[in-house]
Amino acid sequence: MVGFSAISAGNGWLISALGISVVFFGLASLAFIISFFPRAISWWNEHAQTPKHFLPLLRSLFAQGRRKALVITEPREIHVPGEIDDEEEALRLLTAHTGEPFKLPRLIEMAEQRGLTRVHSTINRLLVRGTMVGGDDGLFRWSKGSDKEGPVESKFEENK
Amino acid sequence: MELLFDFLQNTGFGMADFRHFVMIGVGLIFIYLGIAKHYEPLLLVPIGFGILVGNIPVFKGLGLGIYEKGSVLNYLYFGVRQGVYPPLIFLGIGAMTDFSTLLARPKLILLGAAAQLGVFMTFLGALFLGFLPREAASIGIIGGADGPTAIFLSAKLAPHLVGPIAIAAYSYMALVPVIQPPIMRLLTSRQERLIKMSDPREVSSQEKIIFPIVGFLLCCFLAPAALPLLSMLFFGNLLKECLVTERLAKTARTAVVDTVTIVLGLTVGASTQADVFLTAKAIGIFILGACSFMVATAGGVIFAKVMNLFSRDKINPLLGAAGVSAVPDSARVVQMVGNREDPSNYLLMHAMAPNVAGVIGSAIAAGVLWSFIG
Repeated sequence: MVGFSAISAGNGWLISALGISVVFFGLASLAFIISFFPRAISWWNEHAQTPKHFLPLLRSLFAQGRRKALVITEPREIHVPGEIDDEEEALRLLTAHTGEPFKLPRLIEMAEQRGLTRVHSTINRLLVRGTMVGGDDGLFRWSKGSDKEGPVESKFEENK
Repeated sequence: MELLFDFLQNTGFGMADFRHFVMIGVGLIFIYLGIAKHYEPLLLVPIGFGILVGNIPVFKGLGLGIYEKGSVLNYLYFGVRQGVYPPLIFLGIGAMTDFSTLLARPKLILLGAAAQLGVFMTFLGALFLGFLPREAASIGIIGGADGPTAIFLSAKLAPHLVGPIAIAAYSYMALVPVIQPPIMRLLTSRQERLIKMSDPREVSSQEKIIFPIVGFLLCCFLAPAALPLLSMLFFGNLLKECLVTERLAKTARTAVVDTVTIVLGLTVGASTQADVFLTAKAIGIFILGACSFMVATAGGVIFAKVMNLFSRDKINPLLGAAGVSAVPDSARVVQMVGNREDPSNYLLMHAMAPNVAGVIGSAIAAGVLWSFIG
């Protein structure tokens, strides 16, 4: 069969019309999305990369439930906000979720997935300081004296 | 004496007929064009030599010919038959392609889309001439001016036409500097050819990393049948742009693409035998192939002129011809034609945007045709 009847018999008109439409729609959509790249990337660079923005998110994810009321009892050392190691706190929040002892590669993976930066150097610092210690079983723990809610001087004590 | 006679009868000289010699002549012409004229040498030399290999008369049943099970050529031809080699070539193409001009001026992507008109008009033309729909789709994709895509689709839809389609596609890609300029000059005025484009903006490395991921997801959700080609293209590009897999990107754009090109060219050439090539169908394929390139060029140029009606920032309509995805030859042709009018007008980097968009567009077109007809 030849001629226009052959085109109709092979659904040529429909296939051509649909085909060119799909190609145009696809590439036009791609062009449209690409045109937003500069704005999206500048938003990401301004808002979404600082680790501090992840701490409230992590806190809400790993919150234990009951709010613990603070009662004034004995004097206790309070960590001044400027001295808090945000990266250490973020790692502690992650291990609160996994429990102790924990596997170090898993902790690193979770931290990197959540956008924390300089994970390796933070962990190295904690190991050197003795804040984080490794056991004979290959697992890691937070050392007893490094606990932020541990036995240090403070005016406040949590109600259990 | 009888023994000598038997021996001579069993040589290639004894088994050959005039068609073998015609095909050997075609192979020699391809080798000449590749080596002496530098027309797509990386493809025409392997294809030309493959034609010589495939048209040496051999005994059937000894496992020597490309179509005989168990022969070395048959094993190598597996990658063509099953569509393995074209995606691997696309991996290398992605690893060597810089999409930054496309990212800097996204609207030029539409010129790559417009050039795919050649695919579908040729599809209609092939149906008109009496080709079956599967054959017509395989012939139509020649208009995409993308060798791996043409081989991929014809291997899926019309494997008996892989040889002539591949040779037509690569021949016309090599002839782009001859085919395109007259059409470009016919469809544009001197004033339009003198349009100077503003410099493209800087593209950040983050954009270049996000683009292959977003492009892959969007295009493959829209045309899942294009998955084998587009996944490899965008994956190769991601390997290149993420900078942490430079070793893999280097291997993809050197060892992988070169190895596959050798095997693909040789086996496609060897599969092109007289009983398929020296037929009226093959002549029809060659005529339609030439028409597809002309329509694709015209489609891109005319669409650029239409875009200028609605756009304040004028596009030089010559860029529409670069939507024909013969990378980077059609972009070079745009530069050459524009340069003739104004030696200070550098269109090459602008032309790369529709050029690489055409690669994506032709892969989507192939996926669409395969899903409709396959």
